[in-house]
This record gives sequence, structure tokens and C-alpha cells, in this order.
Amino acid sequence: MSELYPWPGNYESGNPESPVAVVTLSDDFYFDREKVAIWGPMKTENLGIEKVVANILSNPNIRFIIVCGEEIRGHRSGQTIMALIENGLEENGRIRGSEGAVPYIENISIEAVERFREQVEFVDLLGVTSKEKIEKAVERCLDKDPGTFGEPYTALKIETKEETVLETDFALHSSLKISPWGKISSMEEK
Amino acid sequence: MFSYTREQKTFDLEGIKVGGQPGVNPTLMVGTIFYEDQFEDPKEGREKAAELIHEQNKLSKRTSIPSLVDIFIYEKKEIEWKVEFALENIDGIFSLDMPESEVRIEVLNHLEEIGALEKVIYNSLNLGVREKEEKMLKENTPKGAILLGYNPQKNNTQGRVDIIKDGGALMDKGLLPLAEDSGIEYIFLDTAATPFGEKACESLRAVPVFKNEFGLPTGCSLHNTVESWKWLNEYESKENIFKTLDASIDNLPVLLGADFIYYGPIENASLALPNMAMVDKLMAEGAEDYFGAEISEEHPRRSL
Repeated sequence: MSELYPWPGNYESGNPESPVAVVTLSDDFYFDREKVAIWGPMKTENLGIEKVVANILSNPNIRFIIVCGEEIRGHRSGQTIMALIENGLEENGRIRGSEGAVPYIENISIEAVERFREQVEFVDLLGVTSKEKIEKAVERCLDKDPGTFGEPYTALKIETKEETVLETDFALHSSLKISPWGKISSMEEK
Repeated sequence: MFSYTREQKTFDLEGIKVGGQPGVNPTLMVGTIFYEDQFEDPKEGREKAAELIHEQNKLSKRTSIPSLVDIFIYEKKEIEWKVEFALENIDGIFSLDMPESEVRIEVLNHLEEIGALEKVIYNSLNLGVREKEEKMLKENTPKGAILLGYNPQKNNTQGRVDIIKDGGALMDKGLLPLAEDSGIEYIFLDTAATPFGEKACESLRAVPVFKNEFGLPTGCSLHNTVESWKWLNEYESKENIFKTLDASIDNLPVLLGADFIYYGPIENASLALPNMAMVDKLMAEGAEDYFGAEISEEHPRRSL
């Protein structure tokens, strides 16, 4: 069986059979573990969203994502995840329609993002901090659970490789040459 | 520790020299006010903020470590009073930290209206820049700008260089040509701190690479890496731990030649500035003894 919630982050997990995930943005809430599968804050409009997407994909029982709590100022992470679900990505990985500062998805594949958009329904409680209202929304989601989305999906992290050149001088970085006397210059310089 | 064969630019920010070969000029320390949650009501916090600025100034004089103030502006409605506050309480250039492009555009408009563009370091020009902002920068050009090397697609050192140089695969043009075409005079490069697990060390490795590649004042704000460390947030003994580790991590880029540090909350000045005085004193001694560098007049090497 594939690992549940494989990307590390600041979250709490509950009943994995529940169809509900709650993103609390800048606020901290505690939910009934029987009713909510996973919940936690989400600070950034890029790396934070990637973690949420990857972890939700690992549990196909999750069919609703409630986004609540005070928006993260500057980052606009709540508006950005809403834009991701509604509009998807531009060719260069920018989240279409986001008002956030640097709204790019780069560490997970477009296929994973598209699957996420299909798997979950967005529940807009942006700015709502009333626990009672959020819990009511959780109940509504539980009532209309459409059932599992299928097999779990593992969103692999896309890694970039750093090239190093260890045989020539000491490599702080492959573009740099450091003389034995501590002079830094470009690798191609004589 | 090191010296660069490439010529390193030095800027004179109304008396504060920043940039150059490692060890020559003291590290410019930038403290932030009006960040999220600093004051329950930021407007009410103005008096306290003025005191904190005064305290940073006093510490700069005492340690010979130059400092600037960085003011967070999150929303358009904060622009007028925060800029007014800065002009009233800061003698010289200051940095405005504005995460949203729309806010940055409004700020440029406002600064032009009141004739304060010369006073501002624009923080930051980054991947989030839109066409409208680019146009505005050419019309209403701030004196300086921080160019953020954040590249979510390729966050190793080369990816960070690409964003500055030519935009990599994410932008049509690099941030450096964009800043130069706008006529920004003081261009500072930020290697972009990232959390642990997201190639955090590359923001350090990028310091010598940026200086070698561009020859411009380079720095970073690694306190952001500390603050995003989940383990530390759960650590039992919280008292002073962030302040201490923020100061500690700031030493590392300076060892590789960083010229400026955004050290985080301005409340931390009492630890951040003396700490940097110690590091700069050591670096300057090494640069003088070993490379024969001529250390600047205002330096803890001479005064402390």
C-alpha cells in the first residue's frame, strides 16, 4: 500500500476514510478526528500548495477541500489554491488567475495537478474563522460524499540535479574555481 | 577567507558603503518592522516602532555595523501612513518590503507623487513581476532594488542565477536586465532563502556564485529558513532560541562574502548587530592580513 500523506508538513490527520480535508490558512483549528481526514495551516502560495496537493492525492477518499481561516497576507495562498482548482496552470507552471506573490507549481507534475483538480471539490470559506460554520461545512461534505476517487496517487517530487566538478580545485560550485590561496574566479578563467 | 578576481561594485547609500571584496566594508544589516503579528494594531504600534528604529541606530553607532530599516506593506490601505511614518522616523534610505505586485505598483505611484523615490530600496523585484509593474518601474524608478533569485522550477544555484540573468524558463527577461533597463541605480542581489528540504543550502552556495557572476552586492535572509523549521517551532525551550539561531545562521553567508543581511525582526538588533561586528572584525582582519585589503574607515575592525 502506498504511503499516506508522504510530504512532510504542519498537519494533523484523522479518519482516512473521511472525504474532507481542511486548509486553515493562517489559523489553527482542531477538528473531530472521526470527521476530517487531514487539516492544517498553509502559508505559501507555491511550496505550501504543493504539499497540500501531494498529500491529498495520496488519499483518494478525500473529495472535498475546505479552505478557511484568515488569508495569508502577501502570499494570498487561499485565493491561489482556489485559482488552481478553478483554472489550473499556465505553461510555465504559474497558477492561472492567482493574486499571490510567486504562485508557481514546479515540484510536482502537471498530471498530478490535473488529477488533484478532478479529485476534489473546493469549498470556499476563505476568511471564515467561526469554528461552528466550518464544522457545518464539514457535515455538509460528509452528507454528500461521492465515494473514493480510485487508487491512491503518489506525487513524486521533481528533483533538479546540481552538477559538481570535484577533480579541479575545490568545488564550492561547478562554476567556480578557488585557488589554493582563496581567490575565487570563474571555472573557465585561466 | 576569500577574495574575488572579478571587480566587486560598492554602493554608497547616503554614507553607508555596501558591497566590495569580502571583509572590506562592514555587513549592512537590515531589520524589519510592521511584519505580520508584530503589533496587534500596527497603527497603534507606531511609537514602539519608532523606538525600535532609534535602538537600531544607536547599535549601529556603537558597533560600526551599518543598518537600514525594512518596512512591510501588505495592503494598499497601509501605503500612505507607512511611507509617511518612514519619512518622519528614518534619516536616509529605507527598504519597503511588498509581497504583492499590485501593492508595489501603488507604492511606486505614491512615492512619485510625494517625491520620495530616491529614498527607497524596492523589496523585491522577483519572479512575480507583471507587465504593468515592469512599465511602472520605468516611469517611477526607485533608487534601489533587491532582486530575488527565487526560482521554484529549478531551485539549485544555477536556477537562481538564471532568474537574475535571463529569467530561465520562467521569464522572458532576467531580473538584472529588467532592473538595469528601468534605470535602478543600486541593485542588490538576494540569493533567496528556502526552507530545509527545499535546497536550503543553495541560498548559501549562491552567494559566491552571484558575486563571481555579477559583481554586485549580494545577501540573503536566512532567518526565514530558521523560522520555517518545523522542529524548532515545536522545540520546548523557546526563549531566545529564534533570536539566537537567526544571528547564528547570518554568519554563514558573510563568511562567503555576503554584503548585506535581512536579519528579520528589528527587535533582534541587540543580538544581530554585535554578532555581526564580531564576524566582520574577524573577516576584516583576515582580508587585511592575507589579501592586503584596505579596510574601510567605519568598521568594527578599527573601532571595537
